[in-house]
Amino acid sequence: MEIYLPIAGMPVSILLLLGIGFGTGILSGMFGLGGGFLTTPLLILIGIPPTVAVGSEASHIAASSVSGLVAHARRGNVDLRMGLVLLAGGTLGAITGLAIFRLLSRLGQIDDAISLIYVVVLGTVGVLMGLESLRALRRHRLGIRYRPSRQTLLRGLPLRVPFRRSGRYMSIVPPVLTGFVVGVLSTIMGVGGGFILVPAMIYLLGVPTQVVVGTSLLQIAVVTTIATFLHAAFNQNVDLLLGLLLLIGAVVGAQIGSRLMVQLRGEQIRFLMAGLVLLVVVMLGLNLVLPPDDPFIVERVL
Amino acid sequence: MSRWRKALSLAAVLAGGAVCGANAPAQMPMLVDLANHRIHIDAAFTGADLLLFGALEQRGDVVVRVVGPPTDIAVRQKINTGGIWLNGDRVDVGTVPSFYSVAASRPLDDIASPDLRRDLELDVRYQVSADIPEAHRAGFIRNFTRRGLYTVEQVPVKIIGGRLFRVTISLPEETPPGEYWVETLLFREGTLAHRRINRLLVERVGFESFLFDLAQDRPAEYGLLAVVLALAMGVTAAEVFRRV
Repeated sequence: MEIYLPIAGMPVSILLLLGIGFGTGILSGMFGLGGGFLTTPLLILIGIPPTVAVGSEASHIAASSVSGLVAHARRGNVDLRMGLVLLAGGTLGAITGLAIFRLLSRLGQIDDAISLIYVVVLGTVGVLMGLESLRALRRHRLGIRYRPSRQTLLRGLPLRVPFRRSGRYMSIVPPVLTGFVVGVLSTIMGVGGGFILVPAMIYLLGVPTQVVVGTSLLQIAVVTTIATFLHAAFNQNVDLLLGLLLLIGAVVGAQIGSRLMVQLRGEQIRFLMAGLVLLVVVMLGLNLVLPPDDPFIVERVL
Repeated sequence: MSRWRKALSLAAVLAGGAVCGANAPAQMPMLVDLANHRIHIDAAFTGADLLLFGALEQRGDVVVRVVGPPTDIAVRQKINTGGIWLNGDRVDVGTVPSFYSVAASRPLDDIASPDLRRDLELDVRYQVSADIPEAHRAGFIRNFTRRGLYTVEQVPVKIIGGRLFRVTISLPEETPPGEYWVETLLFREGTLAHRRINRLLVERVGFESFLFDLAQDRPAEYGLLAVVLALAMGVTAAEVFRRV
């Protein structure tokens, strides 16, 4: 059964969209990430215009991260001060990201640029995640317990403030910069950015694991909400029907995924995830590298 | 349902045409009508068939041309830049029909001379400016042809018993909304004998149309709606699964 997506301007199978939402929902439930970095490339690969994929996915991530945030806030797993400092950078990052997005659109390069940024960012994350999980799997076999190191290289920066919930006394410069970078990528790529934000918070900012997910969700929920508004207002590329169908699939998938998680160890999941991420990178990369069927592309002049 | 309506309207018009023909046989060399004067793009839209039919007073060749609303187009050539295919410089094609289809009862070559076809602009290539590089021009026409937006002589106009004719032109899934001109040309011995024009309206309807219009005309309000909906659905999902 097909449904005509009003902004994408094309009919797409409802089951396919629910399935993509469901599949990435399962993974996000297992891994505690939003899954936008898989959903957006999948939408592009099934033929949704890349800009519409990015804008609509922002609305989907906004909804699903708000739902996660509510759950974490109830359990008190959110460092509000840390979240607000991240957001100071994140908000600025979202606005900067939109400016870059619009510049690339004007230059007629936005579609390829989205794929290229995905290949570079996801490729890096996938390789790092794969190597890290392989090391962890080997440690597990050898029976070595691993503790993430807590010290950071960022001492001596100004504007130090206490983050009580995280038990840290540190400069606000690193979290503002982290929030900014994630905000830029989030807006251009149509993702929450958890796959960068969570490792950065653990390894760079030394935020304790139990508040990382809740606090990162605060940044993700607000930044994708801002990104949704900016995309809709300036690019008219947010397809609400597309976002809604993805969300329905994802909400159900996430519930199943969070139960599946107990069956696998963290490093096993990360290893599978790395494989999946690299697969998406290869598919998007091939589209960029292989000669196109027809080298001429047509765009509407507004 | 719509097939029923099509069949009913076809029968009604054919009956009307027959009556008309009986009353005034000499004045009307050709009668033409569309089964549907409006095509709706709704949630279930995956393309549509446009059925045109008519009657001739005498034998002749029939050519049907459907022209969609004008649109401004630019073309880029993908160029291998350091191993990656990136878009090259933009070439403005100018204003072209967003949809263009020609169907004929015989091959166009046999119906009208090249000069007459050029005068009548009876091919896609006359619709596209000759001022742009030929490769870009051909690339654009190829692109629109592949998407089913430009079709020339893909389906025949069927003439039944030398008097009745019909043709079904398919509108693809990405049919642009707007006002279409459906032109029926009657040729006899290589000259244009008669011409009729029918209007066709392709329009978005329902919830899709509401969303599209809002997104285009009031983007800030649409953005607020998107944000409010996303937040509301997120909170709802959290509540629904709170105890699960």
